Amino acid sequence: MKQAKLVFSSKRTASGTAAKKATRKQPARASSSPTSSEAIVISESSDDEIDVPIVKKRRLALKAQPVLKKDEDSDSERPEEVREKETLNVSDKRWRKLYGEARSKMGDIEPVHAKGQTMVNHILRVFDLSYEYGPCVGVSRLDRWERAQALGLSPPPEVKEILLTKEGSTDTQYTQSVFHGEV
Amino acid sequence: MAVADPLPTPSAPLTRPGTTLLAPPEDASFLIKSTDKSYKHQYSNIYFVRLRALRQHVEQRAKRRWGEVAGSPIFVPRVLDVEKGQLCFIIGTVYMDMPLKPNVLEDIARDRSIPAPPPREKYHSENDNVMLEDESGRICLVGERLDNAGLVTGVIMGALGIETNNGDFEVVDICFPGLAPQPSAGLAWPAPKKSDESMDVDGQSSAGADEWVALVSGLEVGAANAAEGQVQLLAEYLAGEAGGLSDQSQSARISRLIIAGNSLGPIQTSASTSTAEPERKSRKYGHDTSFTPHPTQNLAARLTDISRSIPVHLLPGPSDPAATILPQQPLPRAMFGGAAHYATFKCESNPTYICVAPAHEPATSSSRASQPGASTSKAKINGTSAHPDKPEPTRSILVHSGQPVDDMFKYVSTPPTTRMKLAESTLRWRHVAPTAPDTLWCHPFFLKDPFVMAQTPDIYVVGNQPGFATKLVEDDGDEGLEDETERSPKRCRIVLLPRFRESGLLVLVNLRTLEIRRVQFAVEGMSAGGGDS
Repeated sequence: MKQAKLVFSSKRTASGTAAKKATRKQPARASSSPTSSEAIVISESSDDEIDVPIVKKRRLALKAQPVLKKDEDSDSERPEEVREKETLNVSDKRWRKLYGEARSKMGDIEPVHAKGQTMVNHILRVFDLSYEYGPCVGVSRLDRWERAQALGLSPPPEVKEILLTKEGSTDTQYTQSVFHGEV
Repeated sequence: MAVADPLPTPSAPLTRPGTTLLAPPEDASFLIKSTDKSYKHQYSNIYFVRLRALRQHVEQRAKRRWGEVAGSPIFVPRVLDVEKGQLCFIIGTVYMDMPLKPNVLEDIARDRSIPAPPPREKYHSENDNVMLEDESGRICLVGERLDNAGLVTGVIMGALGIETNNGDFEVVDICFPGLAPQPSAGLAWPAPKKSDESMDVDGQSSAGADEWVALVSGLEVGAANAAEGQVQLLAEYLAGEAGGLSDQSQSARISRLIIAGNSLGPIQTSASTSTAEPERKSRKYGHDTSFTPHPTQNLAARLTDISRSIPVHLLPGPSDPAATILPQQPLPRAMFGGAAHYATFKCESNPTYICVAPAHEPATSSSRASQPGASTSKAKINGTSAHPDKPEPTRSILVHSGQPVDDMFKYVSTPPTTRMKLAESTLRWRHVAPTAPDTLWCHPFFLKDPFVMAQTPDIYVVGNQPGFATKLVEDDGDEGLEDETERSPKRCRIVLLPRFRESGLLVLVNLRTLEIRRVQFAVEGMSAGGGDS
């Protein structure tokens, strides 16, 4: 049911279009309704100035849907430097102190059925199961961390650093709680 | 034939006092934004946030109250850490374990061949248990102190006592957060200026020249036995068309109308008439013939009449076409036809905070506010205010359509506890609807519980109650509390509004002195409020 793409005579390519196109394509894939993805197809085929306000409207309509990748430049038209997320180093020295605290919360015994789980996994699981930050089921770890911060409970900042890395914001085993998919 | 004396008319036409409507504080909004509409997280988030918000207030008050008690009780932060035989106090959420409460497991397990039993009126029974719960666990509370305390699920409470041998906590005394701070308490609403235009109508004192707010609830347009005549009278009275000069001059002092729910009555279905003929008729025509659009049009016509002359705030109620879960979102303005053209006609959520301030000095603003299309002036500090440094007096009105109080009423035994006592207790518990989400359906909030009262309102209105009741709750303030904002004296006028369809009552509240006046609408021979005479 795809309409034919419209071709305009003047094809203006603005600077930094590569980044713009990358982020524009992202909402198109995330949308589920056929009509809105058609509309994106039409506007993407040209980089005319006239289409810019229309694209803005479509983007705003789709921003209401939860976007998996949390990048800050998808809501601005200006080409911005794409902030590269750092990769998660599971044995980074920064997590050592928090891992020590997590181990003491676990009772300083070797966890059972924990083969292949890294320091980061233990830290995040202990963060989930700490009752002082509220229930963990049904919310992403970052949302729960932000709420704990807003309520003044001073959650550990290393957890937020982990959650803002590249793997930490895309991989489900890091973004969602331990009960995700099971409860 | 003698000529009757001409009707007395005022020398200058009566004008309404113009109030300004302030935007309520940021955290006092019950509107649910589209980003908050996730239903994936658990309801226990509400309890977590509520306990977090109110725990420190209970702790302060408890330390002040029990700090000097013989036996030197200590504060135990975790409920499960209490030790046997030691006098201590704990803080947590009350949970009422009642066997008569609707239980989803019983509902699943019941015998499906017989129809379901009707919902119970009261959950209260002899086998109730009171528990105190926090993030670590629960402990069962026992003791005579709890018998007539009128507790419901969801109240944040501090309990002083000792753990007994079988693990229960014997309670000696309990403590609640108390009335929330009220910044507007000390600020006096300006008394009306005696202008040259004020005339001496019989019995009009200076209190009559004050500004009043009108409250009504339960119009139930379109219900069976709807009080159509009374609603028409109400519209005429508010527009200043009805009654003699004294009635009109009193009605001219009313600056705002708040309709607290149930403006549309429950829909009459053919099953309720329970005769054979309507069923046959509906089968013949192929659709349910009992539906008519008349109630909405009728209500829209009345509201348009009223909105032409007075600002109106409309709240949804239990029988209105709005969502059942609290907080009910505002009804769409397009439903009300002509009334929607007036910016002074506002559809509010249920419950809602309405903040008003006295009109600013220029007389032109008050006449502009009563014209259609004029926007209500928000409280911007403009150059015309006489005293820019003095804080402006405001009155905050908390209104809801009665669902929280009706739900709490099922938990308590009635002869000692009345609805007015429950409404007063909600002020002392600092929470509008503690039974949400246990038995009162509620939206799953994640970040904060908007039902927590951060500030005590000046006027607390509960709609759709069986009878009228009012009380002025005053709290002298406690100088010994640590937090400065909690020390000042507070007062609140609680008004329980009866259903207009049954009683025909309009309640007026004086914004300066918080007095109450009632106006009764009755049509001889019609049932609602008029008696069958």
